[in-house]
Amino acid sequence: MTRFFRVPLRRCLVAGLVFFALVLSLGHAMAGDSGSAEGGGPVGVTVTNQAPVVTQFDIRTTSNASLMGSQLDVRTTYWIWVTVYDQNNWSDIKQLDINLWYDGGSGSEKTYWQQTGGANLRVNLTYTNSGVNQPSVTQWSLEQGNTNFTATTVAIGTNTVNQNYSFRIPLELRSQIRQANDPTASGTSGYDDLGSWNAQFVALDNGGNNVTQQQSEVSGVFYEFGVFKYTGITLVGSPWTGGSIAPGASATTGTRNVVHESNAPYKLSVYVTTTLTSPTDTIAVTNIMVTAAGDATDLITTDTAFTGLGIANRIYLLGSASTTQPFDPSVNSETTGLQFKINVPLGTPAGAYSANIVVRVEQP
Amino acid sequence: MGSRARPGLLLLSLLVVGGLSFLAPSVRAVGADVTIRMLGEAPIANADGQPIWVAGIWHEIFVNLTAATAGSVEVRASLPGGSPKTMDADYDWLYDAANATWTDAYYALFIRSDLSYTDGQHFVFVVGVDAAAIPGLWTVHIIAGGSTIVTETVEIQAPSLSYGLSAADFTFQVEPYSTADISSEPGNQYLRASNVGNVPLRMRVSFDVLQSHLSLVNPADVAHPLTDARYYVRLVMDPSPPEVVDVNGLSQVSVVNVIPSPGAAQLVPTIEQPFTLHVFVGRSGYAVRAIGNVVFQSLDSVNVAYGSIVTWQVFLNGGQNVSLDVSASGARLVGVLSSGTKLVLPTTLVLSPESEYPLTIQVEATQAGTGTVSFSLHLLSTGDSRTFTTSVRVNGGPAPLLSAEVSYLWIIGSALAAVTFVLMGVSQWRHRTGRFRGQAKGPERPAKRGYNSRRRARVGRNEKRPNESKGDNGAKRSPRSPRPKGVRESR
Repeated sequence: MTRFFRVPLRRCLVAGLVFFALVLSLGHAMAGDSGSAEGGGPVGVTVTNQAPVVTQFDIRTTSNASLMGSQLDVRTTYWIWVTVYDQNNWSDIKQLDINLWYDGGSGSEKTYWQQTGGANLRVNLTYTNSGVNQPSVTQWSLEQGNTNFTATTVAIGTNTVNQNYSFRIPLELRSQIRQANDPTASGTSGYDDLGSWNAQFVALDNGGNNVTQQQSEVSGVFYEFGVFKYTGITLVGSPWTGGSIAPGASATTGTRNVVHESNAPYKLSVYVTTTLTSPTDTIAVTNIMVTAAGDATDLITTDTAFTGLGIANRIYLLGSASTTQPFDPSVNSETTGLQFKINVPLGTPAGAYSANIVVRVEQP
Repeated sequence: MGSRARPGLLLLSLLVVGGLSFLAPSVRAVGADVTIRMLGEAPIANADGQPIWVAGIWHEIFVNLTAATAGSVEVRASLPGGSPKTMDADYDWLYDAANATWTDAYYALFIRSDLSYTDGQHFVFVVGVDAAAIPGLWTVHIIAGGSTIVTETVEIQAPSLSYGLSAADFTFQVEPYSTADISSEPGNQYLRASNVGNVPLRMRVSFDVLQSHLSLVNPADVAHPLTDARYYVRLVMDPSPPEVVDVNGLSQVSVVNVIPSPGAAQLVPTIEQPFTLHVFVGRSGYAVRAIGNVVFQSLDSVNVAYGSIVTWQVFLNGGQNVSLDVSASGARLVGVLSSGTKLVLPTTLVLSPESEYPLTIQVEATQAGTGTVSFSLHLLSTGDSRTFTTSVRVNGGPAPLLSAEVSYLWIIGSALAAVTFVLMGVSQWRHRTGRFRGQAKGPERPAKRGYNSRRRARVGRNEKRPNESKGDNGAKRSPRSPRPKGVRESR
């Protein structure tokens, strides 16, 4: 074949291929989601499965003030508001999940599924439906998290019968839910306030549609919030008493359990603010000791005397001046036994002596 | 007659009912009513309505007689089945009318005669049971004139000191050189004190600095049992230069009205929980950062359209001069201006603690995504150094390549470059080895020619064909010379 034919043929071949590709693309693009039947059979229509639409997700006070983007207190009831719409009717909704999780605080932001540290670091409220077209409160359950939740307190609002429902879900974070910073810089590009809690809402339908809502449907800001610092101490029973002690002798008090709560790494220490004092006399503070027997797991391994009054002479039971006791991500409180030993020097006048002991729990 | 009998029957019924009512236990105490409560607290009761009495804490027992008496009044409290006359289970307090004395008949410890009083009809015993008394349902008898006039069941509970403190991340923002009177309430930042025990707690909150400027709104001295109170913090500030003040707050609670131990030594607990507050004296919307005695105010982030220039101000003040350098990554630093004059960086700034030194920053968004402007401060007196950053968020522009994409491009580019170099090397090697072979084998076998040589030969042949008759063996066209029009190279 001569060059006279060869070049035009080559151009035609290229043009033809391009045209063929265009036709294929057009056909692919124009292909609808609904099927159609042709020929002599009956005309059928396949109704498409529409994904659920989440039109509201928020955490609010019981006065309905939004707290997304600010801090939540523990041991306080809040309302989680959710509104979900399904065009295929509510029975198409298979599962709804409210996920709240601590982002880890360092490194990169953890996802909900990466946060497996414990019940104080991750909360999951789940709604499970099995084809019911009218939701009920008992379909909600607490799957994970140290929170107080009672399904019967959930309120359901009907926006469109069988299709669109709002849920007001009361939830209370327990005392050791992880403290987190006030997320002052939440943005629209992702979870970006490291050291805060993140939130997301997941709606799954029977058609396999999985809708995950992580941003405000209005502002686009990602759902982040903080948690107040919380510390607590409980002492049950009588004060530490040494009973009657003869001069030159010593006695140990009973051991009292110090139940302490902290929602972040902490230190637990004791110190004396006033020395043992009777109406007329005193016993030096160096005669008061923290015993090793009070708790086998704290830092006191030998009976340790206070070296003076005040916080400068504190004795650490957990943590130290430079270190903290790790936060327990699973429990609601921890317990440390505390026992004292009192020496009464020779020559001490008889009398009832009393001193003030400070038990301090702190988050650095 | 029948109608007459009816009023008589009704009267009889009333008398019977009235007479029986005197036999009922609750009405037999008509001679007195009794109230038990902790000093200064409201009475509390258990689920069955029985008064709660907390061991180890002073209580008031109000005995109100229906009529005045000149005789003595006695209160006995005991645990049914408990050991008589032991602190665990048995107590007896007496008002001796003849001597007008209040006594703890068994132990001489558990009565406050200084606080107990009577007017002859109303008797107030301020008494308590030892902290180690056995918890449970006890029986209290009120005896007047040698007869028990009231018997009541009370629940003795062990003392429980249980206190929790919630604290927000308190942050106060105050404009520089302005007075301020602000509350943490609008920001929903508060302290929450929860007394979940059964004893009243004396509460004290203090601050280590700004003591005269910080206070709790509506503070309470006592946290009552099973109560929960929120306290907002109020800050009153005089005009001050930009600064960052970190405040350590301290909450202390201790049990009030504790009964002294009968033993030789007693250690009374106080619970202490610190919390923190931050006071930022700085411009609204600005991040206030301190390094030594120098304060730097800038924005955390700025937004700018791709290709545009964003301008903002930063402010410095402090007690020493600093050297400042500014750099940008992911954006172009157009300039740093002071009073309209572009500074040469790094530059030395003369600062004052009393006034702000403003600088204007201009940055051009040359790349999509987020860039960074870094401010490096070096304090000239103390030698401290610190770098602060401002994020430049660029709106629009070409999408930046993802790192994975960049990696792939590098891999592909590197592979192509390697292949090219290999091919070039092979080509050169073949060319040279062919030439040497050609020289070695003599003129009978033509030497292998290179690409350019073969190409020139082909061009020559093409040009020669129309003029073959002329015997032109092809005038060699320079590779760079223009190709004759209409001639197409064939490869």
